[in-house]
Amino acid sequence: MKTAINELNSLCRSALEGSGWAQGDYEDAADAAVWLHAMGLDGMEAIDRLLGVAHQEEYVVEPALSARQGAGAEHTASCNGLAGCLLAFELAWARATQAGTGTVRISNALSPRLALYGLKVMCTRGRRFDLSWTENAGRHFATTSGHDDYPRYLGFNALASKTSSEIMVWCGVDGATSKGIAAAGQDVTGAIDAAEFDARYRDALWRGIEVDAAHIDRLIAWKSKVLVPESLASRAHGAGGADDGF
Amino acid sequence: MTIDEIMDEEQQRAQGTGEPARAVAFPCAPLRSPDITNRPERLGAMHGTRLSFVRSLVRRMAHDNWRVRVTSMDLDDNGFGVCIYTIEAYGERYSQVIFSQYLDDADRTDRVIAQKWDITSALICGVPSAADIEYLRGNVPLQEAGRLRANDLVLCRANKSVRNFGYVADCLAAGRQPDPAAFERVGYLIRTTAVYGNGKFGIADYPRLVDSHAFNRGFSAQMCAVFVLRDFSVRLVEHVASRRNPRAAVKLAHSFRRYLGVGNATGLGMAPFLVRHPVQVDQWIRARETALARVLAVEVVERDVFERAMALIARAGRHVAQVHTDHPPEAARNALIIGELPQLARELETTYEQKGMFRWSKLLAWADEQLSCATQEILVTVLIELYPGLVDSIETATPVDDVLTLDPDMSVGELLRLVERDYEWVMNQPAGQRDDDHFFWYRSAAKEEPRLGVRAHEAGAELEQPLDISRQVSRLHTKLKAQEDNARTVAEFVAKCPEYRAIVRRIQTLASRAYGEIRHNLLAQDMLPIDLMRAKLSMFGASKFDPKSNLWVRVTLYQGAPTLDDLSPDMVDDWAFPCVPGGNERGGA
Repeated sequence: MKTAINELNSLCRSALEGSGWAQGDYEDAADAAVWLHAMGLDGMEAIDRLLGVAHQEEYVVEPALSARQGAGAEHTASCNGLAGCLLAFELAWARATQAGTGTVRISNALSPRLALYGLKVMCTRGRRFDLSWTENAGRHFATTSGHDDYPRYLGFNALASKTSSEIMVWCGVDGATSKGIAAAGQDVTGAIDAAEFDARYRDALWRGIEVDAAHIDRLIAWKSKVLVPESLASRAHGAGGADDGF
Repeated sequence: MTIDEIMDEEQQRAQGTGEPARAVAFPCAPLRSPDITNRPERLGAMHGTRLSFVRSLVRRMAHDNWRVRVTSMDLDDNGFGVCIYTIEAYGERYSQVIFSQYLDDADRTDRVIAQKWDITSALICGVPSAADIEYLRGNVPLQEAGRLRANDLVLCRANKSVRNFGYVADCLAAGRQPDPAAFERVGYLIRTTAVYGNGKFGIADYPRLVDSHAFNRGFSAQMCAVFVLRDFSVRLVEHVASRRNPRAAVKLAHSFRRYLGVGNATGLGMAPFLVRHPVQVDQWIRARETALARVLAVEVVERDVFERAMALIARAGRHVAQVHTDHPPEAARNALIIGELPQLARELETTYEQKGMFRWSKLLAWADEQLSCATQEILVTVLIELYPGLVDSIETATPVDDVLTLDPDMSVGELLRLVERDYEWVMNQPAGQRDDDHFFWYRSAAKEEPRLGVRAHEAGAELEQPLDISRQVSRLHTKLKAQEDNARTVAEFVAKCPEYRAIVRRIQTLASRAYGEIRHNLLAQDMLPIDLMRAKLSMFGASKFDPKSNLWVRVTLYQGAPTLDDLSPDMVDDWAFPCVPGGNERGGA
């Protein structure tokens, strides 16, 4: 069925809330999934991976800060929230401010492609970000100069590592360049440039987004968990009340 | 203005007040503090101003030569059928398709949980084909149970005022005008119970309207749909009267057509909106306060302006006296206003005659000391009304990015200082008020109707909506004070404590938007949802506030507004505080 962007977003937020995600995370994940879906990148499959699962992503931020007391190599940390969406970019940004560059590696990523939305959010903020993530299809690459409306999706390499769900985010200031994340030298296919992203967004805005009915049903089922069952007291006293016939 | 000139001006609108970039910089007094403006008792006393959405929309309709007309009206003797309006503006064309159907009295309710309505309608892009009309006929009357398309902009419904509609139809059919007293009690023929936009049920998302010159302001498409329904309500009652008695029926007198607005029943849904869209709330209140500050900076008050102020205060008194409400606190407040307005008029007259001494700022300061909050807000509306040249260029609802953004670089220590600076109102609450979580807000499984529960007595508190800003800030403050490393970044903090992510970015985003937060614990037992509803409805431009409980309120939109026939570039925009007319002129046969 066709849905509007905002309509789908509200449904996704409620479904994620019903699945136990905290407010900030369910807002980010819903925004990400709906944007991905509008871009033709199967955001509904991405959100499916967050529904009814344990929050088990792990992350490490590099480089370690020598000025920090007891600093050595940064340790991998568990995240009770959703690291692999916006948070990875925020952590990389903050470390880049301190150290010139910042790299965040997320292992056990629940839904790695949500990171492309994180990159999209960072597009207008004036810093270069490089992103790669692995999913079943292979290893994906994307980048932004920080002065764009949309990221550049550079494509994916089907032969690259498929063994784990991993996200790598790199942020640099003052012309720094990344190592190990760039797509250069890789055999990638399926690139999408900013103009194509913009066209897909406008198409979604003007025609709506097609969503499989089974996905909608699954989201509604999760959403129902945040609705309070109807009762006589609730119906009588919770909102409007009797009408006076005027 | 030509369309090209209008387009140029639109493109050059500045951020902030949304005024044209070439607008003159006006002198401005200090803005009132959010500690004054954003308290519930103040929000709950607000009135519409000439910056309100309906006022702004009607001005644009008139000045920019909008053409709104009925292009098809196919109603039976009972007024059931279809009516189509076409709206043309700035080279764009829209249509409003209205379905009128029989509704059994047993099915008539204003609540979200209703299933049927007298009138349902959709505002759509372009001109509908026969197939479009059939599609809409199969879906619009179903409202939430139907599906609309990305080309449809607004979905709304209305019920007849049973008492007024039947009475007016009887009068007109008998060849006479209604008694004005009937309109003093209920100043409309129909009332809307929901006006949906922005992606609901498949209709167009708001970002699509950003490229529309007619409807790029927030809620302007919805307000236009209500304006069209107002015209339809009069045509409908005249149609029914005419079919009942073709030889003798008369049209409604123009003064009545102008006085009658569209009723609206508003429940709890508006309150969560205000909490979830703090950037918009800041924009709306800031615009209003900026307008007031410009008026307060006026150095010389001309006599004709003084006389107009006196006339408006008198009109406000008549208007408030004509508000009928069974809600004791509202009735008491109105009585207080009626008692205080003569004092205000006397003070204005006395101080104005002390030549060389008079300033509006002195009058407002006197009112702050001597009058109730409710009467002060009447004065604010009057002051803004006096100077169209100073305030009409301020746009209250230009498109705004209301995304809440995290600043990852900020340190935990800086965040703590920010919380203590901007949320002093949370820290300074008495402990009893701060910890009061008497209520919880929730969505019912019954059509997701927003509801309010009493925590101690009702089930469902574990599913409450996160409208507890005061409580969240308080908890965050405690958490931040317990942090050992104040140099740690906010990004690291929310990575460890994801439950604070939403409130942290809200606080950071609102650091430069002081009017964004309602300064009260919305869970507390003394919280009145109708105060929040009134704030938003006032921004819309509603009048005649008639609370039916603490949870829902009846109002009227477009009361006193120009009719479609009155719209012209030289229209005088003067319809604050509408009062019942005599209706003495005869309606045409």
